[in-house]
Amino acid sequence: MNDQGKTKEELIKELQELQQENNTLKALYDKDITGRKQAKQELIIADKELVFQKEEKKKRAAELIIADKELTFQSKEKEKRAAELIIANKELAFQNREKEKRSDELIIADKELAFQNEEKGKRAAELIIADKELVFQKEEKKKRAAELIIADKELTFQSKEKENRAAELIIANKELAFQNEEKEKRVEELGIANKELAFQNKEKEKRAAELIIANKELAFQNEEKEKRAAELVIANKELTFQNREKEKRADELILANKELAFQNEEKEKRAAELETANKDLEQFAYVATHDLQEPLRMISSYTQLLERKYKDKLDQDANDYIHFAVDGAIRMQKLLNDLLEFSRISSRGKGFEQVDTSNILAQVISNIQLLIAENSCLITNDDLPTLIADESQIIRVFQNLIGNAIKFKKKSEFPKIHISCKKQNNMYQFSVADNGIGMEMQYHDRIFIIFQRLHSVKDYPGTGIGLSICKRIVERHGGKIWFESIVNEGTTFYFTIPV
Amino acid sequence: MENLKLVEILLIEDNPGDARLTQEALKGGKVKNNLHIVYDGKEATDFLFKRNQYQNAPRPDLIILDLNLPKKNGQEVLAEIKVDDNLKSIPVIILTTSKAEEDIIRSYNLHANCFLSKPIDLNKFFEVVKSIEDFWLTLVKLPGL
Repeated sequence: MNDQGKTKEELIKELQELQQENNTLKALYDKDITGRKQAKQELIIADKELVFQKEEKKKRAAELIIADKELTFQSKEKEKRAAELIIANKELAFQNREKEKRSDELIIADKELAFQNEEKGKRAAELIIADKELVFQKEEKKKRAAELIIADKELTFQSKEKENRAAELIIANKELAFQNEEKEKRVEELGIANKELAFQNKEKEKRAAELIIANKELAFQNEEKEKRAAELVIANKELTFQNREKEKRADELILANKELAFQNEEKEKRAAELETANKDLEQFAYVATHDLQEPLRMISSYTQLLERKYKDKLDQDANDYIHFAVDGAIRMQKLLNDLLEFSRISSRGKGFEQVDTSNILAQVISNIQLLIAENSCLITNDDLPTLIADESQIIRVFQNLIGNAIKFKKKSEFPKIHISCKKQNNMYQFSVADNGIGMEMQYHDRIFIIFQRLHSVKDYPGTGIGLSICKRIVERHGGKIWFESIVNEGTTFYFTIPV
Repeated sequence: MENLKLVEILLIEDNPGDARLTQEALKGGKVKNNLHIVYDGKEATDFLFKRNQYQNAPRPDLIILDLNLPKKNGQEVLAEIKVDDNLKSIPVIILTTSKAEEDIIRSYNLHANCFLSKPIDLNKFFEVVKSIEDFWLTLVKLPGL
């Protein structure tokens, strides 16, 4: 439950952070839109300004055209006036020449007159007056010429003025052209600025689109988070449900535990009962053995004592009878001892500890060294492992198997025994292989049963308990025992002990 | 090595057959002995602590003790002997049918001087009794002998 709480808090925190981030983005987006609106308005104003300036230029151009026309008209008037003045001048020049001709004629006439003067005296005075008239007329003509020069000067001045005015107009025109260029430049710049603005607009649109996508993404993430939160809520419910189930289960387990505890108690009771029963059985076996052995020993001892004291006083039959009685008693005693040992493998076994099989083999060889020497037996072995086992029981297993291998040797050959071990499936598999008489595989079950024998006591003495003891010991260790055999070639006994 | 003094042996054995066999085995021995036989644990302690009919019983030089006894078993008798200052120096030989490991261990823990199993074969039984005689009554130096 603690872990769940934390996760929820963390999620809420995460959600709040995301909302904050979203708000920041929205503010940025709003700011951007405001900026763009301002820029648009500025563009509209600049556009209006341009339109206004264009109209002004058009007006100005129209005015200039009118001024031009005026100038052209004035120029034409001046040319007309100059042409009239030229005609007037030519008239004056013609009149002058006419006057010079007249004056020449007058000079001739004068001379005529001067000639005639002498004749005509009266006529002279009249001529002086006419002469005076002529001087006056000359002065008038000079005044008129001066007036013409002045008029000419006036014309020249007016022409210069007109030229000045034309130059000024040219300058004004250039100025206008420059201004036009400037305006065109400005228009271009404005065009560039417009493009720039358009580009910026596109960028902003892209950014806006991106923001929209980001927004969508955020919205999607929000949805996902909400979904996740919803899922968590569901998971929480599920967990709560599971917890309840677990609590139920725990309750059930507690009940089951109680049940088990009860069963355990029952089992312990049963085990205790079994142990008691086992001890009783053991006690029974011990007592039976002991108590049976006592009378048996009495039978054998006193028959033997009888034999010892009265041997010569009895016949051979009596001796045979005594022998059978003693032999029977001795064999029964052995059976009782074996039975006792067999019944005590589990209950009287010692705890398991680390035992080195090499040492065990050495111990076994030492225990039966006389038997080995008597039979010229050759015992070899591979590397042997260390086991967790009851040492004395493993000694017993090896001793029984090796003892059997020697007992069931071929008469024609010295017994050879090889002991080896391999690790397989977490088990040590031991083998004790001999070159003895072998046995038929059909007896494979029988030979491990207590007191079951394949041979007569006469040929091979023994109670037939050795292999059943081996089986019981190996099984007590959690292993198995079996054998492979070929008649007249030899037998290999295998047994396994857990690693 | 000559022992003129009579050696007192206490045999604690409930089986008259075995008692008789032991008696037979000791008969032919070199050491002159006086064999006392008691047939249960209580009688044994009466003898050792000179109680009841055993007021005049001698202090034995050697005790041969069977473990399975009526009334008071061999180990109880052994324990009483070995905690008694007067008796604890007497060698106690356990001679029993049992070969059980726990009997052997418990006997030695109670300070038995040696533990012997009764052989089934008569000749071997005689040998064992003879070896007791040879070792404990001839070879070993005991206090007071």
